Amino acid sequence: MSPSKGPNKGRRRAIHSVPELLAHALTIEREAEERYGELADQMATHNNTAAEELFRRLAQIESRHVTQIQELCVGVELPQRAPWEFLWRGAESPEAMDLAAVHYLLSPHEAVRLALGHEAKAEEFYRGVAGRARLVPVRQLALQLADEEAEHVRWLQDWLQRYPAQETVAEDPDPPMEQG
Amino acid sequence: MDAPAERKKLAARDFKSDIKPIWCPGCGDYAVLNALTKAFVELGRTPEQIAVVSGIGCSSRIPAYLSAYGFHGVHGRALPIATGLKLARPDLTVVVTGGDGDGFSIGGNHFLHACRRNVDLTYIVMDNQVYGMTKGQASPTTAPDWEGSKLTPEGTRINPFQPLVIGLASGANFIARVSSSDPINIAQIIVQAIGHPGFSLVQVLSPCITFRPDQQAWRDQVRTASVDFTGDAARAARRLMTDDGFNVGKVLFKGNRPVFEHDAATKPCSVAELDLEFAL
Amino acid sequence: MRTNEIGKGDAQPPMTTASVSLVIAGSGGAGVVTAGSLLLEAAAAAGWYAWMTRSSGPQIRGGEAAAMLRFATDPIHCHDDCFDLLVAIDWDNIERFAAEIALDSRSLVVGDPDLGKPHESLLHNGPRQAALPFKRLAATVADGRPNMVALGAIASLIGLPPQAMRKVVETHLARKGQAAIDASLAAFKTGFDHASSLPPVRRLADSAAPGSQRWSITGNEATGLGAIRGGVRFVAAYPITPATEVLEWMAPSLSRVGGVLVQAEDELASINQIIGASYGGTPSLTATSGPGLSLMMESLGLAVAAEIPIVVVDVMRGGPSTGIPTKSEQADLNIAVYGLHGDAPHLVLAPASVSDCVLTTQWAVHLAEALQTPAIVLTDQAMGQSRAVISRPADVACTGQREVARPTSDASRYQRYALTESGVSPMAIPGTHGLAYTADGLEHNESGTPSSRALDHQVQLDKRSRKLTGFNFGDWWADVIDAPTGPGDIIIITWGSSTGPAREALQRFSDSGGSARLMSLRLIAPAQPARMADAIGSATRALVVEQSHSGQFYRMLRAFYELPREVRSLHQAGPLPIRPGQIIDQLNAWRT
Repeated sequence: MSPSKGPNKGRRRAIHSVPELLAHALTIEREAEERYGELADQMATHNNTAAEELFRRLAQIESRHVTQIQELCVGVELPQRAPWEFLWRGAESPEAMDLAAVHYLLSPHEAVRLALGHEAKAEEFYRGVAGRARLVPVRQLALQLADEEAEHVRWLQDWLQRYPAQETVAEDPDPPMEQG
Repeated sequence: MDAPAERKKLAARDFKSDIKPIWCPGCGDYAVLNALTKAFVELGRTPEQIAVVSGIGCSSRIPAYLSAYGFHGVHGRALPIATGLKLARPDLTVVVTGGDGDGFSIGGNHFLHACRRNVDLTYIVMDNQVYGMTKGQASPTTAPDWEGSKLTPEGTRINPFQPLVIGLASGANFIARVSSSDPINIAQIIVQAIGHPGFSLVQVLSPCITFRPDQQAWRDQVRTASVDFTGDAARAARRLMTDDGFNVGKVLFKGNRPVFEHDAATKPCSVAELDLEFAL
Repeated sequence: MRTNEIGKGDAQPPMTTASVSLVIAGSGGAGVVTAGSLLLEAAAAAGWYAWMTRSSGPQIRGGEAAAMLRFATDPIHCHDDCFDLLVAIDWDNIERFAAEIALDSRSLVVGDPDLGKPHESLLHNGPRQAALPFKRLAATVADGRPNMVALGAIASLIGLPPQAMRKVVETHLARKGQAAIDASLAAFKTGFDHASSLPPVRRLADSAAPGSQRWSITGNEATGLGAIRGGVRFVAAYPITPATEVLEWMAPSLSRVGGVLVQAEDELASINQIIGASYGGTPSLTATSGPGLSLMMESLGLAVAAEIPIVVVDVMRGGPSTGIPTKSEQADLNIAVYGLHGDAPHLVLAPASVSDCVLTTQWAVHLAEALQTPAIVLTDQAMGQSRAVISRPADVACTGQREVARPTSDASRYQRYALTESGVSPMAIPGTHGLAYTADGLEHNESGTPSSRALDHQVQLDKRSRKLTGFNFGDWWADVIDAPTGPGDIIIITWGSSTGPAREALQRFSDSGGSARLMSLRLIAPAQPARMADAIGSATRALVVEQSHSGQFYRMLRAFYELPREVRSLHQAGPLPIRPGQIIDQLNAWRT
């Protein structure tokens, strides 16, 4: 889809300070952790234990990433931004999994594939920041973060092997239930 | 109990309750839930300052999923509940949530009069053009040729309801349309809607993954509206009459129509003084 | 039957008596309703008690109208069996009211001889007849009006001191100027003077200075006052006959004490608005009639399930469906008690008189708030739209007392619907930190989360039931009055507007040596079996009195209570009120 763009996005404003970049990075990881947690809850409510477990693991991993970024933020005063003031290229932060992309019969393989796509988006985001950065510290940090994301991409590619694709598409023989 | 200044700054997740939604994964309403929590943070409100009122339907389940005060009323009657609450408690931020059936079928009459009355409320309608909770019947916003319901196998063959046009004509003071494919944009619009005085109407295109899988195509059909809002109702009306329903992401109309409020008494008196009228 | 002798007075002086009843009738701008109001005010000024009802044709203006009045030196709450006097300014379409204008051989009918003869439907019981040319007499006074001439004649006949009318006219016509006042008073005097040629009717004794302060008020106004006294500060309502005056009185009054009244788009909006306002912490009320109450049923259930206090006043009118909007009936009992789907225990109350509308409505607010449930207050058109001169209603100390949840240091989750012993669980008011909850019509567990589990449903049903069954409603649940001669072995059981005639019947029965007890239920639901048993005591006969075609009250009593061995049901549909004489006839039948 061509995403709705916030007021800033049309102007291609770039990230020009380390605190600004860290604010973005922290938000990326926090929102990733929250989103995976939210999706895990959705899967739990819908009795898809395999997908739930997968999303919980992803949430835990993101939680570690949050801690890592927080360590980088020590002593740094981060700018307070409204959600629409961040410079994401898409509608949301790159690692916040698209809520519309999931399904209650989602297989772990599909979940990993989706997560993989988001990690790749995160890497692309940081490379873009690096490319437009005017200050050396910003460029360096952005490249560092991009490389970490590339690492995450590789992990997830490995996971794809662990969770092979199903041969047949999952199907639910029961019709939808009326709820009132 | 903490004094307000000592409480930690709230994050979006503080506005979620510990009740997990029963919506199908992939439902557009999740975006609205997220957007509301983000909006409440940006507005600087605390959960107890907010009341979320709903009717009946999938999207009307939202109050329980938020940590604010909530009211899950009967089908179609969220707007009067919210009206009474806001007039009795003008200090509260009152948000009304619901779907297209709840709001425009059984609730249609109250919708008209809520727009007219222009009390300071924000009404967020999650429009999926179907009755999800009762297994997929056509709703007032369903296209006349949709044949997916057993109740109307040849389509409704009725002109769909146009909520934004009707809302504008009836007196709503703020009108916007958003898409659940952009939750951050929804949050931004909600902040503006709540901040604008009077009755604010926000239509969310919120696909139903279970009964309207065809609506997955919406994300490619929606586009950012090409012009900003107008304060001229006639201009807004012309835009809406030529609108195809997929212009999203911006405010369409911001009016300055008079807001219905509880005025202070011009001749206040005590309860005992009321007796004087009857005393001989 | 006495012959009709115009201009001949009676030889013996007329009896003075405890009450006199009269009807003023006329049409098309005759000013019958105004005349009735002036007369009532003058009677009040003279120190009398009064009761006035009105009937009219279907026209918005210019239609036929009748004002029915009763005056007494003691408080009265209903019409007598018969009217002593019918004064017809003209005879147009008066047969419409014939059934309501009960006359007997002692009654006097006075009409304008230039405007035809009385309709034969009025003459079945052979009343005395006389004539006074109101129109011609009015023409002798500049700008004189026939209705003022009639008032003068009435005042003379019933013993109303003319100076009482002087003050009333001066107040009413002040804005029209002295000439108008003089014209009215001159016409009044003309009628007063010429009435000496008329046969006598009952006259009222001069009133000694009344013991208590008196008020002039309608039932609908009294209901509004009771609501405000009870703490109501939010009203949303939709106009409907005969409840609209409740709203008309409350709109400015509520505003003056800091409340709000909203005219909603329909009854569904009304009841939901008051639910919303009450959820926000403000005692709230709406007023409607039968058709509106029917519309509100679903949302009443919401208030029961979510445990939200509200008060719904139903000023009953003739039913079913559109029925007879301008007439009274007591036939909404069924829907008030049984109308909610599911098992939805709630409160139903009924004032017994215009004066009692104040207390009962105030008590209803108090109970609704204390028990966190809806209270339906059943008044009726006869009470609501009647104006009475009454003793000032006492102030009672009961205002809505809602048990409000307070924040505690306990970090555990607030349980809105906690299973307390009384069944009443503290209610958090929006704005309170740490106690946010979602009110819900869905069945729920103690914290309010929706639940379809059997145990949750059972315990919540028990909770909502025991809230009411375990509550001590005290002595106000019913008025129990013994005849001065004692309770005997007869109990009269009634409610609402039927109480007035029943009280009068009891007094007359006692005067003639009979003994009986009268019970008028103020609390219709929940049932109070133990208190009823006490009140019935050793009575072996019960007479149930009500104004409903199917005997709704009788059936309800049968369903919920043990009644004496012999029970008779005196029930009839509206619009005619039950007369004291009808009740006396039943009581007397038991003496033979």
